[in-house]
Amino acid sequence: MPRRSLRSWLWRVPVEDEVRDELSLHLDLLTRDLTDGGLSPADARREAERRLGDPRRMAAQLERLGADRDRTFAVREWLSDLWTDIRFAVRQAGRQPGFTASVVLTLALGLGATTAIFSVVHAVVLAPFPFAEPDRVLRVYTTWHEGRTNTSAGNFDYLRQRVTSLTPLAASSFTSLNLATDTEPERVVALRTTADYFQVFGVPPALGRVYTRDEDQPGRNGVVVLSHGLWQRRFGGRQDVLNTTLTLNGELHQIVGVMPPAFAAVVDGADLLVPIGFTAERLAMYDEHYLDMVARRAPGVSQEQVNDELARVSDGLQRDHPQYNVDRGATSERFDHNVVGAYRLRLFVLLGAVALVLVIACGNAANLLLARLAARSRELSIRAALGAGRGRIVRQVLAESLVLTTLGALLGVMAAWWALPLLIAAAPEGVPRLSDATLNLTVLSTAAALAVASTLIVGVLPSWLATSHDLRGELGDGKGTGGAALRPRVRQTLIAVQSALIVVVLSAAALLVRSAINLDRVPVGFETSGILRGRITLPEAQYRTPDAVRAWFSVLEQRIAADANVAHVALDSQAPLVGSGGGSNGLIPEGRPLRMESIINSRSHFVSADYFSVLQLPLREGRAFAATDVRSSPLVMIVNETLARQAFPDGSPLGKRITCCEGGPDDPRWKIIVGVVADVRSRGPGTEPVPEFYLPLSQVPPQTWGWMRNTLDVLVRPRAGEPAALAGVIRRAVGALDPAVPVYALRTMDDGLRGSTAQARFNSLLMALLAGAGLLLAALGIYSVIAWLVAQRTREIGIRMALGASPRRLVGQVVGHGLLPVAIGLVIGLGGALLSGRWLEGQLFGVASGDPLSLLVVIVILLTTAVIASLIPARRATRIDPAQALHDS
Amino acid sequence: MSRNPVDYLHGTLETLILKTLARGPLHGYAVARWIENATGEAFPVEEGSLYPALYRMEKRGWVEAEWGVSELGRRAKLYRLTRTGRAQLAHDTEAWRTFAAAVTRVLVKA
Repeated sequence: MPRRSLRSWLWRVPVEDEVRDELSLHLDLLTRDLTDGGLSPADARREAERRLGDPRRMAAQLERLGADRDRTFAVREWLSDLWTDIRFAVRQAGRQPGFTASVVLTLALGLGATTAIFSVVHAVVLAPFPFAEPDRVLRVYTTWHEGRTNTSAGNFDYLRQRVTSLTPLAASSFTSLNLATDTEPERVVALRTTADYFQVFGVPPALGRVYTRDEDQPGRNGVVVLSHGLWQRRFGGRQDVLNTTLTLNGELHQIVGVMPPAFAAVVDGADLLVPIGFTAERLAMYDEHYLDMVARRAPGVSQEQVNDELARVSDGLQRDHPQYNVDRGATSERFDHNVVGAYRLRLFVLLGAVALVLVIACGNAANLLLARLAARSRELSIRAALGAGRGRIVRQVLAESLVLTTLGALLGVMAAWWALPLLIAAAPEGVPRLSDATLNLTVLSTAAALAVASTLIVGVLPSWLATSHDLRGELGDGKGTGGAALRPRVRQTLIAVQSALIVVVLSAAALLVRSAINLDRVPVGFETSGILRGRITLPEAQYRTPDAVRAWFSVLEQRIAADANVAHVALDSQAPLVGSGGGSNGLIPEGRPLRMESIINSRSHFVSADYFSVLQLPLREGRAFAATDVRSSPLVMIVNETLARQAFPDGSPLGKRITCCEGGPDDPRWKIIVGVVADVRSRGPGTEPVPEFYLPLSQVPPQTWGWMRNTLDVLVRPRAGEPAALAGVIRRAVGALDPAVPVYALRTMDDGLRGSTAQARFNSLLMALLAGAGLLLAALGIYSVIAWLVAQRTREIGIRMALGASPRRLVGQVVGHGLLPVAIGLVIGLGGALLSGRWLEGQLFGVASGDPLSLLVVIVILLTTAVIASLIPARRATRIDPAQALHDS
Repeated sequence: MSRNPVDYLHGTLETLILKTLARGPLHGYAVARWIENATGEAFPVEEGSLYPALYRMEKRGWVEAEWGVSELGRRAKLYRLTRTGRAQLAHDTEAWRTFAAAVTRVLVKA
């Protein structure tokens, strides 16, 4: 830094005077010298003026240069002063390590939490998707009765041929495939897509190429494009994988390309992509809805026009294929909005809570700074008396808060860097793009901006208040009563604001915690503990006929049942609580017209005989399945209570008949209801039971094996011990039948249950942590204000005690000073909590956003904390020795 | 601050001012007279370029100004060389020496 020039201290002459004096001196000296040289004074003067040229122009030029120079000096001086202030602030910080540590840690907590959460929000919600023109990439749905469903191949083909505003419209379907390896077979998630799927996103492969239209044909589709993840995991990122082969479901596939890492978010983590290769038969099927559709909006067409056209073409579809398409429509939504969907609001709520905690932290820091300014009021007065302007003192206090927030921000970013991996690891599965969360440039600049904002919040208020009175007055009485800032009212207001904010965060936490507890208490309908579940798929290439598949699984079931520790074993096409898939079929109960309008959509379970024993699912009426229920005997069905109520509202369904899954209006293939079982919340405790029906695997029509894609869940319950111990039994039994077939998704039902409530637990955990941190900060704030009040009023308290006031009464008064602002803040905060509660509603379960019990808990927690935080310093007041107090002051 | 040779005509005045002030603080008029005397009137200093040069050098921090008293007993703005100015003078002197030697080599020996 340049040495401060003398000019800035002593020479504050207007630049016009400076120039005038300088030029006139020059003129006079020149005149004198010329006179000495022999000219007459008049001639000398004229000659001097001639040499100087036009004096007015000269003066103007110099004034301009001088003004420019002074501006430069002013900036330089300001920076130099700031530097001085900062160095002073750093020394101050070092001199009071306790104070510095409390402010820095407070701010680090607020800034660190905000930074970590913001990096998650940025990665999941804000970061643009990696494809070109994301606003043109759409997800397209079939709509049916207010809901969105998948699409059949026939309907997709119909739309693809007619909708002109989408170029292209592509389809995909998730599936899992057996990847044969030298060691243990692996199950991989594959996305079957039409060839133009890649065109929709416009993301080029990182290596090689994507597959062509010609390769998207049945019989010619032996090609595969790898995800970056699988490429790294299985092939160590080798460049020479292209044109080598993979064995998928027993068939050779040539690797033609590898997608870049960012594509994982597009395909929702699928390991590889293969052509879907629709057959002509498949394209003529209108009733099996299993496809997802994506599309790119044609240039110059609006989203509304797209949806109008989709609606129009769907009307045609209803007319041309009425049998399966009554009430079916189609609509579209931006792809990125759809993926981020539910997380947007959830994460912004979290971010809002974090921001409130940051404000509380800033309030605390401001409070601490105010307290210190009070202690320094004498120093400030001396500076003011020496001529330091108000702006000068404000800048000095700002420099101090800048130093403190900078330290806080650095520490906070370090904490965020440390905490982020923990946060990601603790998060439930399936949050899109969460693993991308890093402290990137955007996140760090946001953190820096927040630090600057915090500096202002922390510094401006105290410095302004501390200087908003005549500082010189401080010198008079020697002790200093403090300025406006130093009166209790200001600090009590801060407490009230903090209390209001913490009430909002606490209420959110209370509601989320109650939701998580409620979720854990909901009975799902069957005994989840003691069940192990694994999933098995037989490759269609080797196991071509339903009979072969049925026989294979039947032998598997027998072999597992033979194990000494297996009490029960059963098969299910889609076990509850695990996975999100599962079939759904339309049913028509006896007595209703055999038309689309009569259909009840119901989740299907194709199960083996011992199924209800494994689940310990209570039978409400009738009987369970028996070994005698074979294809040649009468076809039977078991329904859950919800379906029983919907299908037969007027009495027992036993002995009544339902058509489903096979046959047609002429040959309904009735199934007789032989039993009613309890409802199961099969998609997790947060969901309502839906109509469900069960058919014995020994009676299902052959086409159901195609619907199940040769895939079944095997469920076992041990006689004793942990169910997880049976994993080896299942693996060995499968391996003995076919060593190339993997058992995947092997987990206990309890794990599955925990998985289905993981999101709620994670939300409540985060919010509770935030609320805890905020509460701690608010408590510290209350404590420091009361402690300061007691210190300020030592003399007054001493007099009162000398006059005989009871300690209890004094404590009560001091605590009252702390509790009054808390109570005011509480009332305001409750209003805020009620208003903001609606943003939480989507995440609540079994509790309303204005839940009185939760609010009561919040009130009790806050008041208890406030009482404790004020009692500690208040009790100190009673230990004041009156004589000492009066003497000291 | 390095200069290309074209700047020399312009820069020479500044270098000479620096050299003049190296002897002690002077007001603008005295600077002009001293340069003229020292160069044997070979380098007439025009007022129209002297003062702008001084203001620019002040802004750059090569010189700084303070109030003094002139021989007429009046308030006079005195210029004083700063540490930065001294370093600049050393640099300019060296650059001039190199420049002059090169030109001399061409003009005299070739």
